[in-house]
Amino acid sequence: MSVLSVQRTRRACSRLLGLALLLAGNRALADSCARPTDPGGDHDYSYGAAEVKSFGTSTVRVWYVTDGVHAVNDESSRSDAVPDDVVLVAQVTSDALASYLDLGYRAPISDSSNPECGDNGGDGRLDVYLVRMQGADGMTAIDLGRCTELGGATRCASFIFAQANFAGQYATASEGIRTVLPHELFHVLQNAYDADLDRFWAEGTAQWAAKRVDPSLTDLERYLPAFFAQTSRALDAPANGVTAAFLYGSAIWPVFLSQRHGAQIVRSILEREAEAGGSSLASADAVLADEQTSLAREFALFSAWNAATGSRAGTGGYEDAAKYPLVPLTELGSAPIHDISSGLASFFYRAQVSAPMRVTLETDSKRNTGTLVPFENGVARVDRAMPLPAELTAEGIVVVSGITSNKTDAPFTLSLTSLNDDSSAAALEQSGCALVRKPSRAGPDAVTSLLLLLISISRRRRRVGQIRGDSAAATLSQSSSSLAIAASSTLKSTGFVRWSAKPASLLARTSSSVP
Amino acid sequence: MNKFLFGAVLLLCATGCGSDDSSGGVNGGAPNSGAAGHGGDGASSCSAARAQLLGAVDSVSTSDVSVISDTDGIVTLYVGATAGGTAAAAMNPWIFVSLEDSSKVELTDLSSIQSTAWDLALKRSLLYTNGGDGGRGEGDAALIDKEFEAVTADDAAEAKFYREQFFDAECNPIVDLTGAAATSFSAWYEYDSETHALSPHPGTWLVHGATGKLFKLRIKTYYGTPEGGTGMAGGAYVLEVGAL
Repeated sequence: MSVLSVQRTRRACSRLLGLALLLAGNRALADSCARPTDPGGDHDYSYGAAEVKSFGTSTVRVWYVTDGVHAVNDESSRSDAVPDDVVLVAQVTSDALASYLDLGYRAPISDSSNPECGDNGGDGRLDVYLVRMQGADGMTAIDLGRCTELGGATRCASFIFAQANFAGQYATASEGIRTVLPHELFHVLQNAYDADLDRFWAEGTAQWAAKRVDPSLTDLERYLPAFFAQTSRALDAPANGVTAAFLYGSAIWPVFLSQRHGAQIVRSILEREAEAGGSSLASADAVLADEQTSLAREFALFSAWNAATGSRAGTGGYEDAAKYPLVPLTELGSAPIHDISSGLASFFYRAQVSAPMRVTLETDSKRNTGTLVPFENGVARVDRAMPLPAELTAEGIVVVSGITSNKTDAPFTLSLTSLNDDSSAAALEQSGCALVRKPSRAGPDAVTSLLLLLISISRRRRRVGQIRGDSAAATLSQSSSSLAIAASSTLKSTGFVRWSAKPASLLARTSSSVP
Repeated sequence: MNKFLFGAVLLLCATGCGSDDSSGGVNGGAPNSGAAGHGGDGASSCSAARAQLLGAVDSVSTSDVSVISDTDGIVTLYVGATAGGTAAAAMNPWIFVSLEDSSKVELTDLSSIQSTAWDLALKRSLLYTNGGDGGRGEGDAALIDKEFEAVTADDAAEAKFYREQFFDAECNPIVDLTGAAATSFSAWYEYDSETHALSPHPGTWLVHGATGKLFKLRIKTYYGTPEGGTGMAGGAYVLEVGAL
């Protein structure tokens, strides 16, 4: 069993903290079912000699002390003197659990199994231990002695550490409790599917899930800048303490998936991973295939949505696009831009022209794709997004997206050329769009003259050729229309472009020009 | 006080990552076979992944490298690798050091890839050498269990040097349990979980510089000052370096 994910940590504020928790997790290999209530404690948390109390609901049991370093705020408005914060932790966690179960998520793996392993908090309820957290404000730990291998995944019983006193960390203790506990609880549920999820998916979906439980919280939005500022990082790139916020900011990926395909898609991906193992991205690709799409297509559209946020938000894209941060843009001018992608990363370029220009992308179509998000009245029209090559008539954002998790270099060249430019026409020809190429203004060369002579010999053959050409051109036109129709018809119901098969074929042809 | 040997973590990591040989030592990276890396030859197939893993800040570090003392061929160096602190580290570049010249080399993260003028790159708690995926040079490193003063060039014969290998054949990053790149220096510190402080692991480092020249190196502290004292900021190294 992997030891790389013996716990999910929240707010790993520094590499040192991450190391501390990870090391603590490794120590737990020996004390695999220990708890802070045990004499030696667990994960470097021990209540010591303080009197340990608990308060619970039918599904959750909260452990706390009122003395010593781990003391909670003991203010209570209750006749039984149970601190209000403790009661709120129990209620919030129980309510969140009920919400998740209502959405169809698996129940936590009970810690009542394998009693020989050690402490389980006295019963099968989910245990929450309130402690003075070291740098973080919540952590989900795994009972390594209560894990089972099933279907390529490892399912484990878990318990939660949460901050004993949120004072000073959030505006109110209530906000801290409502922010942290649903997040950690979702990690507990994740561990009922696979305790070794990719970290971006584990943290991203925990942020997403907590937001669903309480939409009034803003923790999801708080971390988005870390993602939007680093979109050239692969979605599943490892993140250490320096870049840990990126993991939480990657919540925007499940936000996108759920708004595109419904909230159940997150659960479907977890189910897929639990059944088949493998990476979270591979599971997502499999589930998206059931939706008649693919990870490649969806990530390209995800990137397009990310271009249309904040002050750029217009038609289409995220429901709350205007509240989300902006991606940084690089100017695309007359000089081609050369860059390299790795994995599922995105690059954004702003282009503005006074006369229509063509935007082309030269790259390996199996690695990258390009999308033009046109602007109208200063805001993005995601509903009119189109694959490259595309004609830019005024202002827009060009998005280049990696479309596989392959991490080897995937170079690309992005160009803005005149519609009448021969080089532009050549690019079109290379990209498989030669049917719309305009005739050269120059006189016919020897080869062309010979062709003209041959053509003139048989008027009938020439007509056949024209018909074939027209037919093919009509096919291309139809493809473009399909895209527009798909965009407009889908927009009515969902407000986004749903790529059809034909635009996808255009995308594939774009990259045939790669040397 | 609970202390944990980071090398043990890397041992677990190496097992988890399926590495076949590096589990035998406390270093990250790969045993030096002289093979070229993915990221150091300028025509790398992992250049973008490298930029994602290590960062690719296109500016020169504003921190300093200064000589605190130079006695009997042993140079005590201060290296400012704080990178603006933990929160700002992602936006600040690595600092590149010439062990030969006991000085900072004015390079950006990007220009360092093509350079053999530097021997050691530092940023916060991370260090790597100019070899393999680290750079175009002949650099590698080994940690030996011997006092710094007693180490001679002869010790290199028995040492197991590790050349930087940040990626597998498909450019998937090889990382330690913190998610940072596993480097030849990954075992340099012990971590105190109560104070969150790093302290150098006992022993002496043997380092081949970019040109292949051999040095012995001891990390005296992670919390140094340019004057040789003790400070509060992490990433402020005091190193002892001797050419062998």
